Amino acid sequence: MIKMTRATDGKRVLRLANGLQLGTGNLLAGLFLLLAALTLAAASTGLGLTHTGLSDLVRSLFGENLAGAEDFALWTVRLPRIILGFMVGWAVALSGAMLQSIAKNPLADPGLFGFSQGSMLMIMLLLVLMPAAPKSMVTLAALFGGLSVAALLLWLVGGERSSGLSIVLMGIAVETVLSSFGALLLLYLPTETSIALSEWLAGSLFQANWSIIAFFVPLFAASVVAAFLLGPAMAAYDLGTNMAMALGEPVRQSRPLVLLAAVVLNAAAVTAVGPLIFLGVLAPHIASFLSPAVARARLFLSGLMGGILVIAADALTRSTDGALPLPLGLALTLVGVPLFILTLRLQALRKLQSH
Amino acid sequence: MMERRGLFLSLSGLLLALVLPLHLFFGFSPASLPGLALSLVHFEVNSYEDAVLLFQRLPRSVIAVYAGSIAAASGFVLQSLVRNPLASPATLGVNSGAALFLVAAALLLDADAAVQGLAALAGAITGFLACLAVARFAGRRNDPRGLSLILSGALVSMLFTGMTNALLLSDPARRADFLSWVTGNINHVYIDRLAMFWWIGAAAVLVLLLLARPLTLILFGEDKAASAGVNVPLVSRAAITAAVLGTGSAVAVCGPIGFVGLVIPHIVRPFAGNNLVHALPASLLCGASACLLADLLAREAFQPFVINTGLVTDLVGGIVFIVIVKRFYLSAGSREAA
Amino acid sequence: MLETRQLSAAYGSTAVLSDVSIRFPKGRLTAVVGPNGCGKSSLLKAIMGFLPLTGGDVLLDGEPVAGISRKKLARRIAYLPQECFCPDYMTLGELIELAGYARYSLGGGPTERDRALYRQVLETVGLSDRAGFPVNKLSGGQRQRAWIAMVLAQDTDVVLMDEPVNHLDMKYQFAVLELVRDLVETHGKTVITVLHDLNLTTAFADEVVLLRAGTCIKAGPVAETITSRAIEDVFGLKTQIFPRDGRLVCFPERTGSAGAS
Repeated sequence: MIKMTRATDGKRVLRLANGLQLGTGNLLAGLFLLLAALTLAAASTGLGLTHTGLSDLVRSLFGENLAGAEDFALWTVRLPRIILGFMVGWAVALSGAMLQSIAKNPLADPGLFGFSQGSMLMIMLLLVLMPAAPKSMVTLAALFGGLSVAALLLWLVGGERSSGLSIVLMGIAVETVLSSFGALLLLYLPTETSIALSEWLAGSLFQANWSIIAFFVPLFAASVVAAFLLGPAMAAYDLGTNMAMALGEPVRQSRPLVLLAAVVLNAAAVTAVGPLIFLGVLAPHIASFLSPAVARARLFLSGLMGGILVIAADALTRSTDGALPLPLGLALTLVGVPLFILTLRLQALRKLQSH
Repeated sequence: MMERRGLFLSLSGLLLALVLPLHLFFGFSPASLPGLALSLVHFEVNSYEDAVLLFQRLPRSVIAVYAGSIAAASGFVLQSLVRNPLASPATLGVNSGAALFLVAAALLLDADAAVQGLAALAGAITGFLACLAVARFAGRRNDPRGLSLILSGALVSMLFTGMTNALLLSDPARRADFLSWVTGNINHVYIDRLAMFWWIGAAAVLVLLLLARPLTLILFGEDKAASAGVNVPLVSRAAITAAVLGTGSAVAVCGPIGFVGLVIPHIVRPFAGNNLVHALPASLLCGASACLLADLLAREAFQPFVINTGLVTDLVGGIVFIVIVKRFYLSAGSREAA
Repeated sequence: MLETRQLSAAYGSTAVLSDVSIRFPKGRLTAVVGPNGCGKSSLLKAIMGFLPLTGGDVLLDGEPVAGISRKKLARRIAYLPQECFCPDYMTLGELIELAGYARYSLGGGPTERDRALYRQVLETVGLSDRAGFPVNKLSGGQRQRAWIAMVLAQDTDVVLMDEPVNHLDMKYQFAVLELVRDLVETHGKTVITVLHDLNLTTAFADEVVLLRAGTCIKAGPVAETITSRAIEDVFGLKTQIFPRDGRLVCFPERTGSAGAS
């Protein structure tokens, strides 16, 4: 039983029997972003050195055999990159959106909490101590690093009574300490290891393959469930820790849970492609610019936007035809920062007009 | 109070007078000290040790004094003007901006040292402006204590550092040199760069010292300062520009030596107070001493390895950062506001 | 009924409340009054469990508040902090819908009854036509009424307010307190509010709690509690108090010297 009606603020919503309200504006924005992601992904299959693209992909889906090079380019390189890129972008953006609610500040990026640094440092240490470590070990190391930082932060700032912002400040502090260790490793490791680490730090979808995707899919599914369950709490956290508690949010239990979710998502992304700085701020901001939303809708739209941005950045790295080795992080900056500035300008204009 | 400030200033001077010789002569055999001192006075090289002293130690000391004093003075001015205990050239995107631009100029444009220096100055300004712009996005209403500036500074720094890292990858051959410089490396070979850029830092310090009195008035209240005849926007901007450019020149010499600018003001303020007329000279002296000590530690603590000074200062700075956050934002009574 | 028994609380090692025992009668408006830093806000926070208690209890209908889950407590006590914060993307309607947070099922939302309540609450505070506006775009007076509306929409028996009329001009101070008064009289709610102004207290409150330096100096009905002697005791200020039009008027005297404690 679904009814079309209006929410308290007058926006059109679809109302389910249990009271769940889905804003039609947000649904349309979500649909638009999904279409944008698919279009971008389709266009992106045609980018790269090998001359192939969507039409080949469609033919191969209908059972036609492709030539070796085209088959390889599509199925072994481009599709995994696109799919993994989307999921990674989704994860980082979701992590950012959650942390922003916890910290009550739109600048809270997963990178600022030191989670990425924690994951990176652990991976670096592992690669130094056990250069032949299997991928699963690397993943575990990243998770362990991120979680240790989260635990350290919670220990440093204390329990439910500390404000969200103090967690970020402490995060920046921890990040600083950890990054000086990271710099130490980069500087004093043998050149080859150091360059490999640097390449990974710069972000790359180079390693994308179906087995990493298979590892990521359950996490992606879990993140959708988590976003659905934690979404409403995010709106309560948006009003500050005390207000969230007054509204009935059990902060003592739920805040570590949200941090855990953010850390796991971010650590997984860091393991797969390296740290994507600023994406956690960028995606929620642009999503909110397209359709201002709270709670669940905000999380889902942010995640979609994050996926789109990474697909776009990946397309950019491949469109240079290998002439310029463009790391994913740099490409993301090139795509994201102009968009960020543009939306800020447009927002300022909108504000001027409304007054 | 006046006496205490004077005492602190002379103690800072005394500290520098003790630390500087320590930095110069540490590790030489006691017997050779008189001869070394003589060669320092006459600037003559008679032995291998003399050469080490004059062509390695002395340049290192001079660079450390330059970088440390400017970072500390800039840090004090920035903390005062943005009214935030966590502000410093390293936390507000200045260092990373300068580093990125310098590396970009060197690797993409093949610029010589002089142009690299200019690029560092431009980068310092760009980094600071980027930090301000991103902070404005967070809105001021929700942010009584200018904390968004710290968040945006950290974000901008990470972004710039990431870009620097990516740029370095494009030229593996020169990566090693610049990687060391990017991590903050006080090294005698950079004395040529200091010879080229020292006047920028000197001018910056001079401007700050000249502006100390009106700046102090601004700290006690902008309206009050304006009514006392101070051109508030002009003085603030000039001071920030001097602080940022001075830091940029130091980065151009030896790479980002972070966090001296964060730490020293917190050591100086309890003794010298907020009055910049007293606090600035004290910051200059203490900053120089701190940087010399950090450099000494970097040089001697891990023998036979000499690690980068920037790593030592970053590590110490990060720990002090934690302490400041604990004290200013997590202590009793401040919880709510943070 | 809400009651504190020998309540003590501290921020770290700084004690902010010591041995405070107060009963807040049901269906009455109690004002908490005292000089700056006397622990007024801390008292409300201690009741809500936002402050670590170092001793004593807070009892709601005889049951310790510490043992009630946040969700259940939110259905019984609403709290309005002194400084409210709202992100730029949240509209007034969304804020009001958040008030019922504790009542919604997992994956659910407001019931028809909730929705009717929200519309009525917005009507009450005169913001029906502003529901689609972002909260941060409202004017100062509208924003304060928006937060009051949120507290009303939480639909609890007990309401705690920390200086609800701070930063408002005289007209809105009265408008907001009339609204609060109405809560007590027509809805039978128990309201505990921190107030700064003695004359607003005597005009609107039934009961008053006088705090000084973390201890309760005096508590009881306004007419009996607010006396020249008590006010001098709490604020250190000689004050003439006389009845007029059925309520007390407080008239502090000038001390004639600067820097009086």
